[in-house]
Amino acid sequence: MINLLRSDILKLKRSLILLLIFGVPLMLFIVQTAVITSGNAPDQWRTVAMSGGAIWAYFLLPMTATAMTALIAQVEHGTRGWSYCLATPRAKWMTLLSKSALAVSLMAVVSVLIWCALLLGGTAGGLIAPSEALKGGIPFGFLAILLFKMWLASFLVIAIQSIIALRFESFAVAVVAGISGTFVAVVATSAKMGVYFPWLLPTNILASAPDRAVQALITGFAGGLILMIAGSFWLARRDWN
Amino acid sequence: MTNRCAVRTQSLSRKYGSFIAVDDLNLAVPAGSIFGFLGPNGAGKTTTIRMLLGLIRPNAGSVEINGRDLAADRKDALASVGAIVETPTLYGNLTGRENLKSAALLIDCPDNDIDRVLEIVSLVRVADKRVKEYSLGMRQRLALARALLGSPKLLILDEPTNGLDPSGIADMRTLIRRLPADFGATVLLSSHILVEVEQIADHCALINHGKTLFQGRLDDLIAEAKATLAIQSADAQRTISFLQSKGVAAEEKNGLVEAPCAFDRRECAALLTAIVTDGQEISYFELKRPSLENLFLQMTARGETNPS
Repeated sequence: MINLLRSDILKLKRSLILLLIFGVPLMLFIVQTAVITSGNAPDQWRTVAMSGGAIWAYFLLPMTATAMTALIAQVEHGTRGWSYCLATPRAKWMTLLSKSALAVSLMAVVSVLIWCALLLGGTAGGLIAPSEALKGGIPFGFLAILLFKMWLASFLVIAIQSIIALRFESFAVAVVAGISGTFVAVVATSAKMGVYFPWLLPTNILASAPDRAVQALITGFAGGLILMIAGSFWLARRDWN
Repeated sequence: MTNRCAVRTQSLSRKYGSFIAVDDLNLAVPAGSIFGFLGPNGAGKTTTIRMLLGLIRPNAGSVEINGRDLAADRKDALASVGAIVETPTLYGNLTGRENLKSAALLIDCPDNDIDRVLEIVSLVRVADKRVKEYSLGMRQRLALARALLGSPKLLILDEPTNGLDPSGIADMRTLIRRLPADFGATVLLSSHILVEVEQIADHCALINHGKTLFQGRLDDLIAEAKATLAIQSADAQRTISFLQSKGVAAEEKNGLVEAPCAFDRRECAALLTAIVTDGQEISYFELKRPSLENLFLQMTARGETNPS
């Protein structure tokens, strides 16, 4: 599996993936800085960190997962690379699972960069407009745990997006699924069933009701792992023309 | 050459809805041979190759590679196989060396093998250039280098000269011809161009509509094919009458007398000698090589099948 992942990482060299990995946190850094300097942000570090995390979980995380999984799948779809990598002596399901595992790993990298972006954005805002400097201690640990939980809860969304991206040769199918899921999540935020909706699970980590956050964490993480493995077996049984 | 088979299929079949792409195919590729897998476009060659590589599953039948059943022992069966399927599937954003490295990681092949295969295909000098800057011929050679990683016992090459210019075709032909002798590999080479395969292969199978029309030594297929002997003589009608009296169905076409003739120098010489001995003057002749298309038409017209 390690060699599979190393191979997949190598294939992403000089691709758009770096733009995605650094672009999204940069965007959040700019937004965070701008909000603080505008004077319209809450004055507490913890509250600002949470609202930044909410933007990430609610909108940017599912869209990043959509783009990430689609880009990874397109590396093979675009070059018709499946006819080589699925004809190697490795189990086909492992080869396919490594694509989802890579997406999950890269989402972890983006989560770390989001952590940096939110903290740097908060600090930069205070330096640019000292009167708007945030109060309270910088919530290093709080934000790290929050983003870590969001990452775990996002496994299910990543699994769904990855399977769609691997199954369909067209980039558009995965993108439409991602946009639709994110849109429905906006509409279903307050719906009772929203607690089970995969695209809402990372946001539910922020829920004030502890049960809802725990449920989101377990559903997202365990459901994602199960779906990634089951989906890889299902895809491996398909014909790869 | 041994009697062992590098590839053996038994009653291999594959349908897409009601369309039968491969029908009860029994291939036997002798180990150490260069085996031409011939057929017109859409004959079922690529579908068969995809089944040999486990990319698509047959509806019926079995595949054995180097004595191992593909369905039961996929890992070991494919461990001894290198392949190019259709167009070379390379990553344009990577260099040639990086492409090989990504493949080497997939098959757990040591890094020093990358230099070895680059040397075989003469791409050492451009190995660190991005593949998107490669010509089609260089890409095909890189794809061949990738297929050679890990020193496979069987190479499956699907139309490896597709789209290449004449010098690219010649380079690829030279490379492929070396493989059995230099590396002990069996080569299964698919193509729809008989002339190309004729210069490389020693055995072949001809398929159409997924069925085997011929399988055996290439020499036997060529010998069986009817070529055309075109003759320009001083008196065409006399030549036609003479040939017809000898039982040869000659006719006049575009000012030339054309007669079916085995693609065999001796038979051709015998016909020409007979005409000259008859006192006729010949100013030009040509033994037209049978094209795969003609061969194919001849074989389907006869409804011939020889799956042995």
